[in-house]
Amino acid sequence: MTTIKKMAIYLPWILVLLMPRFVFAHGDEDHGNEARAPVSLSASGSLLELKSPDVELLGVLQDGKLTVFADRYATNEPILNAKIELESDGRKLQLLATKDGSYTAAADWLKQPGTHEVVVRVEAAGLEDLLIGTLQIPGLKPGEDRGRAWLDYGKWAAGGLTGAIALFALFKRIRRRKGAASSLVLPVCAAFLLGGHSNPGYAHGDEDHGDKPKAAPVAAAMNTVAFAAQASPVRLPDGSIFAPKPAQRLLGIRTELVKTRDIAKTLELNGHVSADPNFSGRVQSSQSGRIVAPAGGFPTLGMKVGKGKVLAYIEPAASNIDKGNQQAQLAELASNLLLAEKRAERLEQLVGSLPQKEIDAARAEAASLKARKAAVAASLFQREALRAPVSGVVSRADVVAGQVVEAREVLFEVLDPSRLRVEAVAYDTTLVGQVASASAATSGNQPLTLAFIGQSYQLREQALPMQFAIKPPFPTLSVGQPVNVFVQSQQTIRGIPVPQGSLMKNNNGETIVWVHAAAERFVPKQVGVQPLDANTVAVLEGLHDGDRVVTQGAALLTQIR
Amino acid sequence: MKYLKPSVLALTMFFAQGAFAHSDEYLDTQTAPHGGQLRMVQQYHYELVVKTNEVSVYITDHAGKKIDTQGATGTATILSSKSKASVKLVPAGDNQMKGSSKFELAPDMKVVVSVALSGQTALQGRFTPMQRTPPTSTSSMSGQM
Repeated sequence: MTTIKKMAIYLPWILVLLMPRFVFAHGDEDHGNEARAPVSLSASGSLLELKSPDVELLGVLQDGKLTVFADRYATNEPILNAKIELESDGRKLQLLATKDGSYTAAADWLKQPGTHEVVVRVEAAGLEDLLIGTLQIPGLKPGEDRGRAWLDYGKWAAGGLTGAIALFALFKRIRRRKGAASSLVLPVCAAFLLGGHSNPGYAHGDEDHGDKPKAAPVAAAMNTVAFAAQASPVRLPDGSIFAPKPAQRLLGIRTELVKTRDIAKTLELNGHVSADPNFSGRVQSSQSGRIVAPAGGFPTLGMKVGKGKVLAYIEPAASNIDKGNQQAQLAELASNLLLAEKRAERLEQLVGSLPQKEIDAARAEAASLKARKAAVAASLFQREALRAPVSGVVSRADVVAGQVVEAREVLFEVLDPSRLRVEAVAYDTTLVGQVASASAATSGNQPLTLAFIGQSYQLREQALPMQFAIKPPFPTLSVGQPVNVFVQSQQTIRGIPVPQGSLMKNNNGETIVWVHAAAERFVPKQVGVQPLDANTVAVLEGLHDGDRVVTQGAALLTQIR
Repeated sequence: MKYLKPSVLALTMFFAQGAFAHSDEYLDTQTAPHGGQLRMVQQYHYELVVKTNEVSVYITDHAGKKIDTQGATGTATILSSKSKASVKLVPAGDNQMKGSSKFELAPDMKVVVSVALSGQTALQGRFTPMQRTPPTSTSSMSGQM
């Protein structure tokens, strides 16, 4: 009995000690959200940000575990499969690549507060670099926390003690009046009440629990990333954007290092590919006739042919009357030839008694008749050979055997695909004599390098025709294909060229570009621009040399609220 | 007269700010006293001169005044042609720190110099000794963009 009594006395004590472990998790209200961004950006001293002209490194230190993101400084392109080694005060730390493209390492000395000078060596394909910087491991925060926790525990211990003494007094009084069984109920209830409240130390930080659909997919994806401290990109009060590295990679943000220079004014013209007349040709029949295949058959489309190769034969077409006349003439010539030859023979036997002149005349007549007969006979059956005028590729062949064609009909076209030209029409006549250089793009965005040949000084359909030669490398082109020709005039503007896609509008309708100011910070810069061509604008104001302008993903950045 | 001292202090503080405007690009346009590459490292200027297998660092303040390296220790970490060399620097009289080791002189070499002057913490500077734009020539090398 006494042991049970003793246990009953100690029970409230035990319960009071056990109860504070309960955590009352709450709903998905979003607390601590406003405070998060600035804290993770500036106040967090465990960020390591190093940069060189080649590499930008961002490290996040948490509980002695260092996670590093390595990107190319100019383009913000992640550096993958790199060897990264961190060295500080003679201590070396090899960082291991993780699946998501970052690098991690853990070391005990990273937990020690203090300032460490670090040297980081980065080695990747075509890149090696040494970076220096200072890693500050804040010692204040954990110490402060520990101190406060101590105080808290002390307070609550004192409170608990007082409560226990009060309970004990109550318990004794009740016990004096009523039975032991009922006296147990009160302390248990009291212990629950106390325990439920004595719990402030376990409220948690500002990690994002409760999947609120804000900053939608990015935020959701970010939750899987190790650092809770900097989950999602956010717009800061000054209008700039804090975008953590994982988010930047998801958004595919790429930048470009800008530099002021003289940019030529560019005009876009409509043009098409044409053949070079020196390296292309047509095969036409000079008379009407019937097509006959050459030995080896007709050439096929795309077949390479050398200059002079026979592509087809034409048997001249003649009416029956024509043929009859020819044959009659041939018969007459044949009989005349026979007579003339016989006469010549006879006269030759009479050499000496006849003047030599007559003998020669008879011989000549026979020879002439023979030649005439041969010519007429040949014209009756001779075929005309159609030959390739240049070396090249057969680009048109639409004949079949036996086809009867007219004179001047185009039967074959041969061209050299490496010798093509581009013909464009300019509606702006001020371009006369102003062409500095030119380039073109096909509808499939295949770039062409062009060299200006010349232009007409006569308007054709209110436009000036211009001719350009295509310089190697030669993409696969076809004659007649439409291309967009970009002509750079000799007039230049001094400015910074940026892609059209970099230009964004802010809430006030002003034109801005995003500048990558720090590893995780993007600043909108208001700019004054002048369009250069369809893809490029010249920034005349608002940017400086060496700024990193976002060229890809600018629209996504603008949407971050 | 009462405000003379504070105003002088304020003025010196104001002018001291100017000393921090030495960017790497600006320093590359300056001719260093020993023909090396100058870098600003906190309150000092380090000048790095690399020769075949030999490294020298000269330390001055922002005004070019020599800082005595007596009792200083330091290292130079050299990364060139995929190999890393660590050179111990020892005081070599006046404001010079010197060390030698085997390394290659490559155009893209990078050197990190860390020097602790006697009784002070180590300060480090990063150099690209072969990529500086000489002040006279108009080479298109834009090493420090």
